[in-house]
Amino acid sequence: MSEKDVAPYEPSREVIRFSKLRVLFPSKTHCVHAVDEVSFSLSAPSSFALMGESGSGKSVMASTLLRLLPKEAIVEGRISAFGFDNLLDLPIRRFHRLRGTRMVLIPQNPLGSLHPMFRIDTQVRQTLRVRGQLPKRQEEIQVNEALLRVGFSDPKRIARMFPHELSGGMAQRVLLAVGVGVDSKPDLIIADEPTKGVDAADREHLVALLLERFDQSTILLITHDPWIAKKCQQMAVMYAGEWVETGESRKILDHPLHPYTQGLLAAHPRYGLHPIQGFMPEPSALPTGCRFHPRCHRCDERCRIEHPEPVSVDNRMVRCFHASS
Amino acid sequence: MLQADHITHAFRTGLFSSSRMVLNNVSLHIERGNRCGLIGPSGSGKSTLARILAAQLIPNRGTVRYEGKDVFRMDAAGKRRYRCAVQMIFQNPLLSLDPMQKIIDAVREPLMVHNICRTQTQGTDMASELLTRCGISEAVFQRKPCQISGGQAQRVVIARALGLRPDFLIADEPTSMLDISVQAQILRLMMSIQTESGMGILLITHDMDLIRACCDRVVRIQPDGTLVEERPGMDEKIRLTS
Repeated sequence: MSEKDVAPYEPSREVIRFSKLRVLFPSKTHCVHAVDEVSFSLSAPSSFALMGESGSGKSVMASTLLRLLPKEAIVEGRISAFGFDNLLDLPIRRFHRLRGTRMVLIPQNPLGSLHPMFRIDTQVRQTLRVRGQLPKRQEEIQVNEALLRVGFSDPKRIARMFPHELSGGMAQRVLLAVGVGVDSKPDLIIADEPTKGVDAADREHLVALLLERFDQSTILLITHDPWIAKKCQQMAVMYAGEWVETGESRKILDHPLHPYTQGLLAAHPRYGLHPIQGFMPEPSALPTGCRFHPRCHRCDERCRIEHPEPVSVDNRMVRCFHASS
Repeated sequence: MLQADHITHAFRTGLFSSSRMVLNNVSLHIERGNRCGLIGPSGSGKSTLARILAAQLIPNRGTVRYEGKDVFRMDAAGKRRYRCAVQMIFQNPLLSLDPMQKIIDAVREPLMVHNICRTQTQGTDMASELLTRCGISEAVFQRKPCQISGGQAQRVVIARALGLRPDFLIADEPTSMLDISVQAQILRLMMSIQTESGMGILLITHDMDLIRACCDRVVRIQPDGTLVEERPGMDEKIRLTS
């Protein structure tokens, strides 16, 4: 799948809507603002990339959607989906029926997410049984079909293997099989850094598999790699808990407007490995004004004092006083 | 020079089954001041070759020579010197650090073991300098590995390796678990240290973009376990200079 094959974004129906989502983690001495006032919607079928460095809040957003946050987390705002006004208010038993059926997560670190002591077929069977999709006498057939669905040409061989015998890319595909099962068509697939630690050659193949085989679902792809984000139709760049640039992926990555997006691209080996100076601020100690200003070469007095709101520039939203083409 | 000659190595795949050849008559030399990239897909034998070069694994056949001497036939003193001269850093830095040890202690310990520093105070001072050189602030010195990021942990591992003043650094996928901006920081740090110290670097990766940006030459492990040298196809505009 090349960049030219990315289908144009044509929203048909809204799948999920986030309204002013905030996630905080309070402690005795301070409060961590992990996600700050994020509002957006995802439609089907479509692919959406959420790009940013570690600590920007990307995985926290995914965990919030799936209600996998620790108990002490404070969540404000609304997540509307699947006919429910706010998923966050849904009784947990009802919500549990949505997880793994209408919403599926493919977590980071595939080898850490698979049980090291069980063969692949045991692990796939266990999840199929939980979903109730699996008549016992057809177990082996169902496992093989699930593995075929994610691109394994010899599913019987893979089923007999242990996780440590798999490459990173293979383990990631097994997780995808575990997540989507045999014939389920989830509305939303959240892939959290699916290419981290995976060979360069396998990364493109894995993302292509995800986007092509599940083209009727909405894919939310979390990544720090601009080349992977470019394979999605839409994207958002996240920094210190808020979105700084959103819009069509190709447009953003070909002509980034926010200095942070420009910095991420410049850090890529193809563009000379120019790192962004400094580090992302601690969520418990965010700077005043623009959160990126301590690392920004365009910073001026206004950036230090005033917090920029998103503005529309060139058919995208950018949170910067100096957004320019 | 660090030289591997006719290395052949296979792993047994089961108690009664046959073995799988990973390295097949591989020869490789690295000189001080050079940056060599070793590329190949997962499972091709890159890390196996790295471990053999670092004398962590004895090959089925072949030799590794450092300054003309066979590494696997050295006496204890020779091996000790070799382990200072050839340092290795790994993909997951958190697995290379003792989880119960503070960062400053992790960097100081090898300095004391190899008698580079005679007293604890000297060791602490030198460890502090090394960590600062690698971009770790003093506020982090007393933390444990679980309290720092992946990028910080990799800097600590590099600082620890540099303390022994190695002639060669073998970096096995040192940035594949790191964010793109942190990756750039770590690689630039390694290359600038390499330029200052004149050590040789073997950068192991599956990413050709990294090789083009960082290395003078590249060798590729083929699926049959052999090694071929390639032209790196350097684009001078994007070539990393420190």
